[in-house]
Amino acid sequence: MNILEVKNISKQYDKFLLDNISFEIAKGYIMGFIGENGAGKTTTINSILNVIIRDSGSVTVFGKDMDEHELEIKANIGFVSGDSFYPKRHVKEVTDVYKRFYPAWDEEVYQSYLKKFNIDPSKKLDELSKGMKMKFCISLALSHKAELLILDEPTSGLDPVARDNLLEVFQSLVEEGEVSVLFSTHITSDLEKSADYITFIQDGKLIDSCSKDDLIDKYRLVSGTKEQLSSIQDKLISHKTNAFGFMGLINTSDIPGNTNIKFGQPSLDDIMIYYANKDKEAVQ
Amino acid sequence: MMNLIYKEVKLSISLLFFILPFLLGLLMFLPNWIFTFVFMYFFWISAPQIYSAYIAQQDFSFSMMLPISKKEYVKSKIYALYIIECLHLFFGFLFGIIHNLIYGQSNLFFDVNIAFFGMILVLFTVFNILFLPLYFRSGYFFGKPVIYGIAATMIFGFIIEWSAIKYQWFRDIFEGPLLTQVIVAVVSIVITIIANVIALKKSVTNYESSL
Repeated sequence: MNILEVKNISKQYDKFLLDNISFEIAKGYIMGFIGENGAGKTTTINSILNVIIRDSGSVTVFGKDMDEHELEIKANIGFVSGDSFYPKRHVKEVTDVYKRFYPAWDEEVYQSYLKKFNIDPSKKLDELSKGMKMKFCISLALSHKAELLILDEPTSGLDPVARDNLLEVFQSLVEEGEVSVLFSTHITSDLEKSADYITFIQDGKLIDSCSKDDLIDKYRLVSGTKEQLSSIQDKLISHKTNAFGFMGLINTSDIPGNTNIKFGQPSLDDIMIYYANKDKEAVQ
Repeated sequence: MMNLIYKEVKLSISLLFFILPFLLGLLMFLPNWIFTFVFMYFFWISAPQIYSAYIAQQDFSFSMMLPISKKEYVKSKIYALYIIECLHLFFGFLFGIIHNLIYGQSNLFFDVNIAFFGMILVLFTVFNILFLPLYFRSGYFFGKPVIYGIAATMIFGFIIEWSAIKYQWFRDIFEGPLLTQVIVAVVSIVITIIANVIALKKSVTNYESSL
């Protein structure tokens, strides 16, 4: 069963077009949503949440149309962004307001998360580290029994230890299969650890949306000498040259037979970087 | 809606702006003054501070997390503003009565009377109908809307205070018999209600089509 279905959403701005983005998340999985800064990740999330008005396309959450059942759906979504709010307010003050909006609020669950994450409710929000703030937001989302977590750049600005810690939290959430996660980030190494599926957008356009392993299998890193480059250049997504030769990214299906050029498995970072360089001149 | 108004009062707007109406209302105890000023401080101090605090506190980021519609979001912010405006009116009125008991009603400028408070209602309405729909074009930028609101209220304030000094016919109507003053106040209330309903609807429409 798909928890979230995004179909052909588009949004035109003066200098940016979010163009026909489609993807879906199955129940109990983590979907990594990747793209460089400015690729359209936050615009897509805002379109999903009806924060901005889509020009076209539809969003279905829990099998219901977002436009028709917005408030009912939002009551079952936990949205967590990297932004921090009300820095001078105490944790308990924010919770006191937040919980009023959710009839399904479970105080026991909330208290258990505060304990688990070691959050002191009497502290002000700006006394919490960024990682702790994210955990507080996740506690809020989970205490009203959100079935879909939408996380917009939750790990940006966190140190590696805090990031790893947070990723473990996300993984533990989906283990029981009740919560699904849409996780937007440009730190793709986070997704190598935690994501089941990847949706990759570039400059407002969908590049791919499939399982993480399938995405990595679709591409290969290529390296060779400058002489070998000319024989394969037209098949490369993009490449970089250096004093020793070149490195590039190629679709696995475009790999030529009978060649001694070296091929290797790319990381999500490699895929994102070489797509970002597509249509640009080779970086020297 | 009550939850959203609770959020405005508890989290989004500093307690200071609910206390200021009382403190500024004490200015009503000055003898012989331009009492329109007492309410103008709301436009000069509270309004820009409240809306800049929304940005500083990332109020929108928090609101995005909540299961609320854009219409409710706008309405709650406007109702919160109305509450503060009503507090200004309440304390102004209360201290105005005491002012008259101490000094008498006669004033070089506009007297503190029922018609005066009718005009103050219109003063707030002038601000609301200009500021709110302009602000909710973005729900973010408040500079120009506040400037327009302040400019309009200053012109309106100047006209009524100047007229009270300059024109006898103005004094005859606005500082005349109690019945005339009550009529002025009732007309002001009607204008206030109609104009604020328009301001609220226009603000919702502007915000819904802004994003």
